[in-house]
Amino acid sequence: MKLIIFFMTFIFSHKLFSQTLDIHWSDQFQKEIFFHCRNDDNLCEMLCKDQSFCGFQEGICKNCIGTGLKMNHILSELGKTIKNTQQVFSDTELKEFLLSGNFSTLGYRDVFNVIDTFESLRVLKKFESLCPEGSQNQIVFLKLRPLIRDVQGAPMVFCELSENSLFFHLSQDPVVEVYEKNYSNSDSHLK
Amino acid sequence: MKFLILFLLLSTANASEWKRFGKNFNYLGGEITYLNRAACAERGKFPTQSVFLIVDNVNFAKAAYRLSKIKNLDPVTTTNFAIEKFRYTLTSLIGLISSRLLSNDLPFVEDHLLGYEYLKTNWERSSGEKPLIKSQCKMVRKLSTLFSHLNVSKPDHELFEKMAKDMENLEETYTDCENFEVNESPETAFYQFDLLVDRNFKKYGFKFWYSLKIYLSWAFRYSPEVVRLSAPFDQLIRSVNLEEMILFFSNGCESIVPSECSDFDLNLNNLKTLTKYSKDLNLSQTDFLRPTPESPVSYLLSQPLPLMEDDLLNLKETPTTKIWVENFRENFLKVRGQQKMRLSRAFSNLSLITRFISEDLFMRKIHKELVEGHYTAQEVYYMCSEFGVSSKNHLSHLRIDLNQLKENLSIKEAFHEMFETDYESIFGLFQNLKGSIKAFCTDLQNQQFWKDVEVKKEGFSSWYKDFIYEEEKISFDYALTTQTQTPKPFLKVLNGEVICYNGVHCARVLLDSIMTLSAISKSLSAVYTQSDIISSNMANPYASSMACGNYDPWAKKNKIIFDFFHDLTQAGMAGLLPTPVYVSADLQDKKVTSFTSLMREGKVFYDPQFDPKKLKLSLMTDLGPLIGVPCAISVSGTKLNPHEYYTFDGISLSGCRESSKIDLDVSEDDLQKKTPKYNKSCLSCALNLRTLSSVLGAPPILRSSAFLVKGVVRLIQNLKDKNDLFKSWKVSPQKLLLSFRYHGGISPKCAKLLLKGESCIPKKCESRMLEELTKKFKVSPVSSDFSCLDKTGYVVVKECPEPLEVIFHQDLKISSSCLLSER
Repeated sequence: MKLIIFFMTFIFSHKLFSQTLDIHWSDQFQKEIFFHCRNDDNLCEMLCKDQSFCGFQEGICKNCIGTGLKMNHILSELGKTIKNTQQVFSDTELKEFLLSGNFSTLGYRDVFNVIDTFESLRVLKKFESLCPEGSQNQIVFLKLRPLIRDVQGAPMVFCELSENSLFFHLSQDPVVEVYEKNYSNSDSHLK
Repeated sequence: MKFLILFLLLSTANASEWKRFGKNFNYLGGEITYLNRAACAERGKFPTQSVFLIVDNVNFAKAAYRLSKIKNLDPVTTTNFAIEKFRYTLTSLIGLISSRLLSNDLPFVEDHLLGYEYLKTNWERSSGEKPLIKSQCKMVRKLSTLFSHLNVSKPDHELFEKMAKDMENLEETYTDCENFEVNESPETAFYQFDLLVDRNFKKYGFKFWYSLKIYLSWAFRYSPEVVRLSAPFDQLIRSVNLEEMILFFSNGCESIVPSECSDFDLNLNNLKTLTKYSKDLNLSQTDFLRPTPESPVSYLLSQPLPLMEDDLLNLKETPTTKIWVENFRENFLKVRGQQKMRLSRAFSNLSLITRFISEDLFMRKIHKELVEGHYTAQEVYYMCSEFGVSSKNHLSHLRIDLNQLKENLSIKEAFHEMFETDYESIFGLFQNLKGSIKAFCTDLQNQQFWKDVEVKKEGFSSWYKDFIYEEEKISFDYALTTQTQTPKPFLKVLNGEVICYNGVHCARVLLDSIMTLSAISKSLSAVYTQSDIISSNMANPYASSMACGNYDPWAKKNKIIFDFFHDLTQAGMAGLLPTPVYVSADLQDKKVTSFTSLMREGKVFYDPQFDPKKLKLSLMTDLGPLIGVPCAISVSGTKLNPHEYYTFDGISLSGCRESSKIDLDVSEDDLQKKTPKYNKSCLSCALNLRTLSSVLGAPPILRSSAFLVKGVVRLIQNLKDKNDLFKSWKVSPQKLLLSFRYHGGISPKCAKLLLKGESCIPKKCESRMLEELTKKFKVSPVSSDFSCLDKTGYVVVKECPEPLEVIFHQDLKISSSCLLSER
């Protein structure tokens, strides 16, 4: 409940993007992402100098099709230690991140996830848990190392909401509870 | 739209940038070398010219399947085509890199740390001219007798006959790498790559294989050639985790990487364990998964040396390659999966405990909870015992070497895949805590804290039970539990899992995680790799033993030569043989390596009545082959019997220039002629006792002596050692097939000729003609009548009712009423 209230507060107190985002595989089997922006949203303008549409072709994502420790870790920790921090990407951060081209997307029904069962409800729930309730089309952005293009982490999630859409920072570290009875001023510490 | 995509798929299906192997590609290949134990061990020092490649494309197939579902395409057609493209890209790229490296277009790489830019520059410089084809790729369909060199040291006529039959049906064993009509298994593939190399390959072979792997990893992702080869699935194919999908291993006793006596190298060679079939293999009992594995080096030293015939790769039981590869893959993935799971849990525990609990907090918590009566005496005992045992220095393979763990690159890389925290810092807390817990436990012991406590072994951690109780059914997937109830867990992830419940439990979890890292560190690199392609010498059962000095293939040979020399001189000393030489040297293995060194070291004395200079010269001349390695010895006369007197015509020894260092052949069979025949390339240098005697003025006929008989008998018996004296046989597949076709089978007599590299066709010129004929045409000769003088004759072949008329000078000319199909 706390999380929902927090998200509600966020939606009305922050600058929002109003767009949809599609992951698309072309007829040449190239992965692309398309932003569709509404008139009151400057994201497409900011990224592509176009008011309503912006598209990116994703390059390779080294080792994404595999079960290496990195992909395994990210996919198994999504929704657990990798969580929505409720902090929204600023315009500058978003522009820098997307225009660098050093990213790859990961949707719940994705070719780059060979670890989870395809189209399973469990995976859907995992992706849904990354966004405010009621959102759709949750897309995780993987950060890739320049040139080498291997995955460095999962810093961002796109959450499509009915009215507005948001790009959130994802946490990389777990929030840990240490019970230190009688050893400090408080009974329990969140770290 | 679907039609457009289907068209796209089909139009690229036949795209071939490098036609690697023409239709005349000779699948039979060059000579097949059979080696016994000593020779195989020795050969392991040299780089291989032939490797196998195992490909596991299950993850790629999953991705292709998902793509077809997303695109609403037919999943089977799309997935199969994508797999073809993936395999085509991979095998083509290996062929291309091999050719560029062997043509000196691409420089060898000696340091894997040279990064992207360095490799890119080299690659771009090499992309000019199309290189000459320097490798051959074959897809292996069946592990037929054509691979018998992997588990047989000396073939007999029965095996030869089976081989010939397998050669007749060669398409059952091999097919072209580009023959996609044959898809044995959509999950796995098994290839053989043979290199066409020059004589200096021994010098740069290891650099070649190392470089091939480095360039393969790079070019598979970033080269424009791969973009073209893999179209239209290039993004998909270039995004696969290639290193976890493929494995190279050498085809035979030669190596793909130089063997070293290290856990890393031994584990790579131990991958052969995973070729066992599930019914015979208890994975949890292998050192890959045991909670406290032995060091591979100490394990190696405790095991007897296998024979080639022990079939450690389990090829004999295997009907098809598909079954062998899929079984290996299944075992390999189980091991890798379990190791990754254990590693992941251990990393997570270590990272969180060390980040959030200080040593001070640990000890205060333990003391406090002890005072408050939370712990049972058993639980504290478990902790004290486990920490105590893990610190014992004399338990060498259990003792955790924190420095080694810190430096272990595989573990370090794996850790950084998951966490950004400093890897080395995780060991600091453990180091300090160990000391504090030891003091804590000593105090309790002094207070007789555990008096009258009966300890139940069930509560110990799995590594402790494995080590102390040597229990067989230890689950490696064991989470350490606690019986102590505390109000709240000591450490837990918010709204997530509990890491540990109380002070003692957290300390044990910390130790357990370190023990897991220590166990996995011994074998992780063999099954999991972040950046290197795994390659193994697992087809050579002795590579590790050689590297660790556990087996010396020279020892037996040196001893035999020395023993024989000693027996000769004993005979001389007894006055029965006028040899004026005396030896005073220890007869211990490895101490004496050659006659030359004996002379140099002053351990050979001469009878003063002979001129030492002259004598030395004659001895060197006559005993020359004993200094090197004799490769053939013939003893004429009747059967040897140490209780009778004999006259020896002589003992002949000879050494081959090419392989004198490893080949030693003894033959006493009927085929052996009185004067042994050697190939022209061999150096024939005979020691004839009669000659030796005559040089020294002895009677022409040697008198036998007990010493001499004993020496010769011992020599012959020793030289019959099948395993520990270098023995090798090179068999020409062409000659084998020709002989089989000509005679309709292989007799024991024919087998012996084949082992000598000869064919069983009586006339050599006729043999050469038939060889040429079967090379050029798809025919099976039944009989022939050929004149070596006229170079003309007739050949009856199965494929034609009329005999073929042949003329064979430089070229083969045929006149026939039948239309013969060319090879």
